[in-house]
Amino acid sequence: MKIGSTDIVDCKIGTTQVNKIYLGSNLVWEKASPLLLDLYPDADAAYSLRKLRTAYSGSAIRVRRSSDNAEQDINFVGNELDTGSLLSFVGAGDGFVSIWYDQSGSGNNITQLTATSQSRIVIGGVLSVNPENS
Amino acid sequence: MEPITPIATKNLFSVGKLNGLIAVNYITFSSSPFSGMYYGGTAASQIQGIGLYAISNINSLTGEDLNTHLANFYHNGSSYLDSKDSGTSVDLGSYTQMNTNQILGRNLAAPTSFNGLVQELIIYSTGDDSNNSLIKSNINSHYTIY
Repeated sequence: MKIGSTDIVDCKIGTTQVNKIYLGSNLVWEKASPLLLDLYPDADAAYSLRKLRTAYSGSAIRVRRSSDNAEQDINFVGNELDTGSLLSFVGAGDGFVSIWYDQSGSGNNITQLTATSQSRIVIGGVLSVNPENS
Repeated sequence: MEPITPIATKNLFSVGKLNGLIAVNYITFSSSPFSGMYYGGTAASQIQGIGLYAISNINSLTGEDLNTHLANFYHNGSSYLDSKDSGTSVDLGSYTQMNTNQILGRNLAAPTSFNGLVQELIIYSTGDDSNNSLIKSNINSHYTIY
């Protein structure tokens, strides 16, 4: 829910925290639950395909597609990996992870820049299936 | 971008599969062809699995099952690897330090390597045991592992 163009991130009446706002019987806003690193900060490094820290505004991963070796950062939608953008970018081929971004704020991204050693997240246009069993 | 340096205490949590016929939204690691990822692009610190591997002492979540595992390794003077999918805990014995090339992956020279899928990896430099169960519970509430 927005006031003008501003998202509501917190709401209090006096000092009382408001967790949900209803219009009639319709839930229109709910206070976001804290993410893992909001509760347990100070990680050296944190990699995930979900968002781990509310203040993290970076991407989840950088993906190289097999069709032309182009690369693109894949972000989050809400707190989950934007799999729509991932599949759209990769197309019918394979998608390989070249960077898994560190969400801790420490900048300890893990990388694999050698194409032949990169791990796959999309295989044949679908989200990863273990190739040894496919 | 500095690699994480080996220190005496680490606390690691990872979510992954050792095998999976269908594993949507995982990053797939394989030994053939080899795949791994590195801190700072250095070969000494690859991440390739969800267990703990070293040349002479391979400790990991074993078994080619299809479960999602939550592995917690912590080093607080002793070493420990705890798998929360089936309540399995493995005492790793005495490691004096945990090197980055032993974190959740095999050493490049190790005879075995990890074939599996990884979804999440979180590394703390503190071995706060009191938070371990809370962090594991938080992860489980998202992935419903155990």
